[in-house]
Amino acid sequence: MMRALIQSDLMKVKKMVWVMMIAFPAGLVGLQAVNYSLRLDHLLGLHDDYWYFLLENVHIFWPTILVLTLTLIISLFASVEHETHTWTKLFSLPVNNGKIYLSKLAIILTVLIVSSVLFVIFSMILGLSLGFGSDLPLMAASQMSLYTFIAVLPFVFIQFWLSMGFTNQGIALTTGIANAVFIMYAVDMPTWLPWRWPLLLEGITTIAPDIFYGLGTGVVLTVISLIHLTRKDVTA
Amino acid sequence: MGNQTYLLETNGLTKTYKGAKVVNGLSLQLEEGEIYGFLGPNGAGKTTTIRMLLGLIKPAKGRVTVFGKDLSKERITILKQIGSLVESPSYYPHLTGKDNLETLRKILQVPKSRIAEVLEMVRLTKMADRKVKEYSLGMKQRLGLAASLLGSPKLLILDEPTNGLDPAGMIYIRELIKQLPVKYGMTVLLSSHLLSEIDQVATKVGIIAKGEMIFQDQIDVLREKASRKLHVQMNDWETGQKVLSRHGIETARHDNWLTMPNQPDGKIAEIVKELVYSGLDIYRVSEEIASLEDIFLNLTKGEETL
Repeated sequence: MMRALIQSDLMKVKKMVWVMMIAFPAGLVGLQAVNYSLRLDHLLGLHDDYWYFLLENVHIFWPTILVLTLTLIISLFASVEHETHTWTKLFSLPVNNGKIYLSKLAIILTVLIVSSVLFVIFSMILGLSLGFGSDLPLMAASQMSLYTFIAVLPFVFIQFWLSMGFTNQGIALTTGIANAVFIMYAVDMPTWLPWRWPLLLEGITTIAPDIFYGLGTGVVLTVISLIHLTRKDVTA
Repeated sequence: MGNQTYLLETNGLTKTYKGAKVVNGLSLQLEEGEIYGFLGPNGAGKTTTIRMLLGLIKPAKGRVTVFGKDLSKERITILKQIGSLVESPSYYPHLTGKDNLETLRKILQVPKSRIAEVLEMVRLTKMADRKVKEYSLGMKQRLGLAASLLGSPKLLILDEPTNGLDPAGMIYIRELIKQLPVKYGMTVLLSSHLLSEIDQVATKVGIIAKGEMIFQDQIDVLREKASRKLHVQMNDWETGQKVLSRHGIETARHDNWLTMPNQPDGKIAEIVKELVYSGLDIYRVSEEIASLEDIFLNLTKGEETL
């Protein structure tokens, strides 16, 4: 049944989701391409390991971009159903209510993972074209991308809850965009605040407690939001 | 529960929103093969009731039994055999009509050929490959109906299915609904705020007002409730009234018309004879039959519908 639901959900996905999945990481790496092309000598003089420094640079805005991506993607997934009140139809089908949400969640997480993988690939392409050599730091890049993904999980579930739970996407979008902006200024925050976690301040390849906080909070929030969403009355 | 087993039965169904009882102790019985007209003014609680029948909202009190099973316990098994169209039709505007049905078909797991069948049933075959955002309201409504028929359900629950249809579309859908029990053995529950709609298709009627069921029976019983009146026009109503009251018939006057409850044929002949013998000139004798619409208004009297 899960397979049928996912296939059904995939049919409904708006093209914009695929565009954002590719365009956001491409745009961010493109920004660093401009940065490097403008002041290559200066940047190369700052760090001995060109590759590692490149990864640090592309990662600076990645948490913000990723939260922005997930906010918009989740909202698109939800508005497909909110738009013409298809929730009523969906929940009148002989399927477990939780599975309806789980199917959407599975696709959303996959889209974010693909976006993260693309981010690594684009970064590698940038490094190669800057002539950093063919000794690709795939391990470090994957760690950076994966740790960031895990650390933003709490935001995935907050957005999922807000977008699916309220017909008015304004609430979800405002919260999501505010979070994305807030992350940029979270460097000096206490370590228990989730905005700090995706910044990977202990180093982009270090397994820091922040990542586990992200995972734990993410799981707790999923459980709470799914319980709430599946139990509430379907009135629209 | 009675001895008889109903296809769908509710007992004392109640739903409260912020302290107000939107549906209050509703008991509804639906037998197999019936077309049940669920009638009520806007805001009477029809849609809330239908949402409870589908398990979309949980009743505060009472229970719903469908196919002899408790809805709160075996919801998914029950929903396998229910097709529904609740309020406005739901669809994905960026997909074609066919793809809209395909998203549901995958979940219902019925053969692909079923899509063409239901599209044919609602006459949308020609529009199947067009995006639904190009559809007219009537076409969207028909697509919604097609979607509800997709799973070949035993019970079809339709909330105001002829909303937004043009007269031709309305007649077509009405005929289609009428055939469903005969051709496919379906049982239909149909809600509407228009009695004329239900009158033409339903075999049984339930009337709901302010969340309470105020009438539930065969439609013929409702028709019998139509009170008939007899009007007699004459030159001198005062004498006429006296003559008639001597025969134990109370009358009301309007101009030179006397109005009384309807009488059997023999009695009418007698009344006319008496009036003529008393030297009165009888101009007209006419009978008034209250329409079903009047009965409905009467039953739901005091209901504020804006």
